[in-house]
Amino acid sequence: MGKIISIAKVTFKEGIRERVFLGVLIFVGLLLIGSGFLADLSIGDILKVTQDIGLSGLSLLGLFVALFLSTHLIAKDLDKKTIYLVVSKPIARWQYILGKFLGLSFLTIFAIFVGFIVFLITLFYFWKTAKIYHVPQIAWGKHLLAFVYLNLKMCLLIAVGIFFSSFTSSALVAFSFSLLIYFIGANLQNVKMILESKVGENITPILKSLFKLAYWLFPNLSLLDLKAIAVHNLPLNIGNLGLSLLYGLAYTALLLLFASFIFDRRELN
Amino acid sequence: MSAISLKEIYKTYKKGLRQRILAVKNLSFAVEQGEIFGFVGPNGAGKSTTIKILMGLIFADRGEARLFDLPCSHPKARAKVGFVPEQPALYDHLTGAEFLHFAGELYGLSKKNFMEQALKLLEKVGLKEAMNLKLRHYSKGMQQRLVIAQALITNPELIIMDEPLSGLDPIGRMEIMDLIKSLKEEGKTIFFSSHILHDVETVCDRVALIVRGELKFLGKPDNIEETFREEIQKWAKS
Amino acid sequence: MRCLIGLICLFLSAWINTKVEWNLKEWTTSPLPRPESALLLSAEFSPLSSDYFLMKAAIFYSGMAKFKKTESLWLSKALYLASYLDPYYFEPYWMAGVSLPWEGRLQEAKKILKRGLNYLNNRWEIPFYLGFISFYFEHDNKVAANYFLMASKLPNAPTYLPLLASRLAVKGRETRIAIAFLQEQLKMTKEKKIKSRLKKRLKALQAIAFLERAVERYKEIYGHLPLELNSLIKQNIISAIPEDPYGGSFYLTEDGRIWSTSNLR
Repeated sequence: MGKIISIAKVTFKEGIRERVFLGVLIFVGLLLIGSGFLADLSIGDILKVTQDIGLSGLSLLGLFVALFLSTHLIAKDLDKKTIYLVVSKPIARWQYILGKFLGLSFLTIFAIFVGFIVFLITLFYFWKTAKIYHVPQIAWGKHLLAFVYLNLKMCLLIAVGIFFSSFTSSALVAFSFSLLIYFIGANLQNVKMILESKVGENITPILKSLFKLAYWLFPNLSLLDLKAIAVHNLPLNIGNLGLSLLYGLAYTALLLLFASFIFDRRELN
Repeated sequence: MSAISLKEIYKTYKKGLRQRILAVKNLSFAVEQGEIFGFVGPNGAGKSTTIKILMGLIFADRGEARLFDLPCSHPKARAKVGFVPEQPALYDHLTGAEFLHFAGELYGLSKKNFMEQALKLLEKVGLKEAMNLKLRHYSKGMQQRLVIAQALITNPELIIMDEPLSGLDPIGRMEIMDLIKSLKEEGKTIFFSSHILHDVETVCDRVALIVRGELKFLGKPDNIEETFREEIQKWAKS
Repeated sequence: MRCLIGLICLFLSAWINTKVEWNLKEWTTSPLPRPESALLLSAEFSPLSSDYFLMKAAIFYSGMAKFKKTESLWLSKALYLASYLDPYYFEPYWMAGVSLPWEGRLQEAKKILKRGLNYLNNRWEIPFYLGFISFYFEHDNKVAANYFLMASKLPNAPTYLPLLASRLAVKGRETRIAIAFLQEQLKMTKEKKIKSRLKKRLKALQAIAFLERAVERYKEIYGHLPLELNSLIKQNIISAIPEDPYGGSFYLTEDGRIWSTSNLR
């Protein structure tokens, strides 16, 4: 266990000291701070737009760290052979995978946490200084919940990145496939809704069956997306939330299992 | 119990869909505890491949590879082994001390044992001043010395080194030779590879010659030169 | 030397930028994606897309004086798109209810608002707009009364709603209900341009209400409807016919109601 934590710590340190990481953090920080001003420019409910921009910024930040940074760091490890001095020690390959996962997860959670604090401060400021007809209540608790589920979603995506990195050696390939999985996963619920609506009546049954298969196979990321609940203060369904949590954890574990299985047999040349 | 034991090892690389390269063919030999063993052969002979199989980085197609009588695929086999790979590849953003700490943790060393050991080692390889410097600022020589330090952190019984002398200036070569000799005096086993015959002749107790994946000579270095010349000529002609 | 070239390029591009004519109309009425495509392309960022299209619709609505048929169609499509991409967002429904029916886009307005009923079950405005459309534009009092009743049960509903539901049978009250409705909307809007549009309509409706009361009084005195609006002036019931802010002229319809040649557009 301690060995896994060591690898996690080193992964965290390596990631946080990458200049790209700092750059993205600053960019998202500026975006969040500017979200209120951007929202003011646009026409519509200013607080709603501020929250939209802020939460989308957090999602983007998470995506970058979880997908790009994870595939980049692992590919770097394999490419530069820095992994040699790790895997040649008395540790099992699965400990390496788990350690990498934990390190990348902490890195992502840290980044999103920083962003979340900036978001809360910005939102609070614009909420207090808003000059509108009737100032709505902001569901702070639900925002916290959305933050937690966002982190879970990112951990799932990190597992996706690790899964692809376990058998390709190109960071670009791993990243591209992970991005594809993300895009499919983010749209599964939308496609389902479209197929069940009037528009979906004209779709051929073959495509519908294919979609059913896809719905089973790919991760349904909308389950972990609580943006609408937080922004519009929708009622919470504890049962659904609990199941979504379980789903996220199970899918992540499954991906890591596959990754370690593949990585056990991988030749490090 | 031998420190290293190889029995009928076969390894084939697949290049693309059709091409197959036989890297190691029916390789069998053992390295006993307490000896300095040299593994020599021309470039591409299969030396690195064999070492990678021993360290669990790649897997043999056939045969048995063991370290201290444990299969090489098992993590425990490497508990008493220090490894110095061919080119130092270190985590850029860590400092020397951090990396050494990391290596110690991977061996399962507790913090108490570690701090003193680490400092002593850093002094021994001459990196004490640079220990809080990030590895990206280390020169190649400094990196090489750190890799050796991390191999010795657990006071291992066996040290495996892949081409430790390549790319070094005469002073560097001398330092490595002295290190190897002093390690033997501490009762350790050293196994290292080289493509220069002279290197293994001078310091090794026993030597193995590998050409095109096959073992051509195994024994004391005094008798090796002739065989070496023959095999090299055969190899150069083809 | 390089600095000089760099500066020249900078000024050149800035100058060209100012010279290029930016057509608001073109920008705002550019083709809209199909709602399903927009949703799939935006994935989890669909609320942002919704904000974007709502903004486009709002700028368009506050910028144009008169709407052609194609333009009001664009507006309805834009608002449908905005409400589709974030169905829990109230503003697109609000804008649809306030703008579309007056531009003749009843079916489109109803489509958007009915969808809204499924998602926002705590906003009284949505069934209210549907009720108002049935009542004022489609003259279907039964359907309207149901909607108003639905609205009156929701939080923060105005207290006059139940009264409204019961007064629907009475003729001649339509204009006054529309005026009350517009006054409520004015309170809720902050956009200056949209506010001025609403004020314009309010002025027109107040003129109509004024004329309607005058016609009622004429009927009380003489027992029949006047032949034309000028009769009201001749009989000294009113001193002048108020101006139509939309530039048309008011007239008396066959069944005794007041309308304008401008159609209030």
